[in-house]
Parts: sequence; C-alpha cells; structure tokens
Amino acid sequence: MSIVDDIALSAWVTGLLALATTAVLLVLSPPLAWWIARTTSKLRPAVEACVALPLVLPPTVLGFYLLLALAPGGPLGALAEAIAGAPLAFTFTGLVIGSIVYSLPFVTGPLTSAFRTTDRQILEAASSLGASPALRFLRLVLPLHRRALVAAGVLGFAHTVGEFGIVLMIGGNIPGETRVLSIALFDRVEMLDYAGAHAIAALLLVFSVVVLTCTYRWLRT
Amino acid sequence: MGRRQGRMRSARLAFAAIGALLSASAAGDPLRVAVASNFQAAFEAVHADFAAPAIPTYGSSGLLYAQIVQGRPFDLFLSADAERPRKLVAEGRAAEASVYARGILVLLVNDSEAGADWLGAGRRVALANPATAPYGRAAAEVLDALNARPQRIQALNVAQAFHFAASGAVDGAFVALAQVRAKAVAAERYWIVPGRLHAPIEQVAVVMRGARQVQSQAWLDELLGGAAQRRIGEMGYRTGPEAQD
Repeated sequence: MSIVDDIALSAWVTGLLALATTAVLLVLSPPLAWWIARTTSKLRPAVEACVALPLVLPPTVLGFYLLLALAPGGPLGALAEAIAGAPLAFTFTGLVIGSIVYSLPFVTGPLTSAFRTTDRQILEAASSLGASPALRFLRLVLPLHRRALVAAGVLGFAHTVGEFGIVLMIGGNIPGETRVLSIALFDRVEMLDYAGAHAIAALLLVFSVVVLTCTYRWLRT
Repeated sequence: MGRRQGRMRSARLAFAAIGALLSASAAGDPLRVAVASNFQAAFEAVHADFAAPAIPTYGSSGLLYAQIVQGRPFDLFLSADAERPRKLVAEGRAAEASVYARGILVLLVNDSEAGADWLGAGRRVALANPATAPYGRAAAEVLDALNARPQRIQALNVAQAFHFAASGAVDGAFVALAQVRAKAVAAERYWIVPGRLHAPIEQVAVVMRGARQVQSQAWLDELLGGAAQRRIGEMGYRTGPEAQD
C-alpha cells in the first residue's frame, strides 16, 4: 500500500469512527447529563465518577479491560457472538464501543454543566401547561441548550480522532477496519518513515486547530 | 536582591545536580540493554548471574532500532534480527555484531490442536508487525508460503501477539518458542513452524560505541559464553557453533 493510500484509508476509518462514536454519544449523553444535573439520588456521585473515569484512567487500563470484555469468552464478546455471530475484539464495532467509553466524559461533562443552568421557572411553566417530563426535555431543554449540544458533539468527535492508547490495545492495526491515523503515525515512526509521519502528524494538527478555532468562534457569536 | 541571587544560585545547583544524575551513567551503573520482546524470558533467566548488572528495555527490534537512531542511549542492543544491528555497525554507531541465538517461531492456538492445516480462512491470527518485528516478518512469510489467508491481527511485538492470544481475543498467534516455554503452555497448543517456511531468525547483538564499550563487551562475552548459551538453548532457541557468526 502506498503512503497516500494508507493515509487516505486511515483517515477514512478515523472519520467514520469519530462520526459513529459522536452519533451514539449524542443519543446517550443528553439524558444521562440531564439526570446527573437534576437528580437528588445518592447514586449521583458514583455515576458521575464512572462517567469521568476515562479522564483520569490511562487509556491502556481501559484497553486492557475492554479487550478482556470483548474477547469471545468475555461478557460483551459473548453477547456479540450470540447476536451477530462474531466476536468484537479487533473489529470496527469494538473500536466504537471503546471510543464511546473513552469520549463519554467529553460529551456528558459540558452537557451536565449546561443543563445545571436551566431556568426552573420555564420548566415549571411548561409543567403547569401539562407537558410531560419527556416532552419538556425534548422540546424545551434540548433546544435551549443547542449550543452546548454542538460543542459537546465537536469535543467528542475531536477527542475520538485523537484516540491512541485504547486503539493500540484493542485495535489490531487492520487496514480499512481498525487502523486509525494515530496508529498509522506510530507505525511510520517505528519504520523510520519520517516523511509519512510528518504528513499524518500535520494533518491531525491542522484538523484539531481548525475544528477548535471554528467551535470557539461559533460559541461566541 | 542578594536573597534572590542566592535563590537563583541554589536553583542552578539543584538543576546541575539533577543533570549530573541524568547524564551519561558512571562506570558502576547498570548497563542499559535494548532487548527484543521475544527474548524477555531468556534475558531474565540468564543475566542475573552475570558480573555486571543490566537494565533491559523491551520492544520490537524496529522500535528499539528507531530509538537508538534517534539518540536514545543504550550500551547494548539484543535484536531479533541481523539486519538492524548490521546497519548500526555500518553506520559506525555499534561495534562488531554477534549472533547470540536463533529464534524458533511457533503458532500458538486457543481451541484445538495446532498445525499447518489449522490456518483456515475463518481464523483470526495475531502476528507482530512485520515491518518492525522479525518474528512478525517470519510469520508473514509462513502465511505466504502456506498460501494461508486467516484474518491477520497485527500486534506491536511478539509480547502483544502473545497477550492477544492469552486474552482469548484471537484464535491463535505467531510467537516465539521461548515465550510458550516460559509460560509452560501445553505442547498440543502450539506448533513449531518448520524453519524452511521462513528465512532464519538470526538474533544478533551489538555493543554500542561509547564510554562503556569495554564493560558492555564483557557483558556480551558472558551472554555468548557456554553457560548462558546452554541456558538460552533450554529456553527455546537454537544455539551452539552454528549460532556463532
């Protein structure tokens, strides 16, 4: 495979992985963040800690446990084999699961902070007009916080693009399936192919700067 | 003013002390040895008896080679191939190269009896990165020679390939005989790949040029000596006269 093909294929996998992960997280995270922001349950600190765990745990710890969980004998692997007939380790789906765990705090965190600022009076007014909690959340809370939703989504996407440690542990470096740009870069450096390494590193750097600049500009307008 | 200068001076002294600690090790410090992943168990088994203490860094031969070229200080390099050490000699970074072991490739499997016919299309097999790990390259040569097309799961080095198999995440893995021996794997769970299916895995060691060349050469002589070579042979390598360059 030529360098250009390798980079293009790895970029495609990286983009797809980040898109899939962000899509799932934008469904999972808002209700979770809303619950964390509003609940008086004693479980809240524990749940919040679990969500924030990937912020402090080395990705290799997550990767190590994920590989055991995704292997055919592991809980997730056995489930996947029963449903899809194939194990999850070293597959694109396995990577998506790993990325969801890894990027969860980057989407849930900003949303929780934003949801905590929700005006109670608006919610009470909607409630007195007969809106159910689900309806209030979908029609009122989410539109109110659309900026936070976009920012959280962008952050989750960008963070998944920058993923390395977990992919190293559960990816298996399969071209077109699990070889992402950060892994391709690592490979190039190990092969002493500095031209290829420069190309990939510059691509990731420019992408990150552009995405973050656009997001911050958009957030202020 | 005077107080500030005093503080600056002590800060400078502290930095100098740290620098001295970090800079090129003194003669009595342990030798820094870059060791190919496959040789980890054997290294640990033999080096404790050597006269000079040594601290290993494990990795694929390609990764270690890249680090050496980038200036990471090592006193010795125990590669899993002959090509990279000879390059270091040709570049003037290392002194003469010597074969310290010949590697034996095995196929480790999880579910059934290992053998050439086990390598069907439905299997998922881990191998070390062929571009940087000699055992991975040998494994790729074996798959080509047998015209076998299992799904290839690429690991960083043979240690990770072994880990992938041990975790049950793949059906099998190409690893070193020394690894399965060190982990006391049952004989029916691995297949010793016939040497004719891949280029020989000649594992070559070099002494890096530098202030500690003499101590490093003495250490290497012990590794090439009868006692260590016998132990290395027991661990799962071919040694003896044919293993000498």
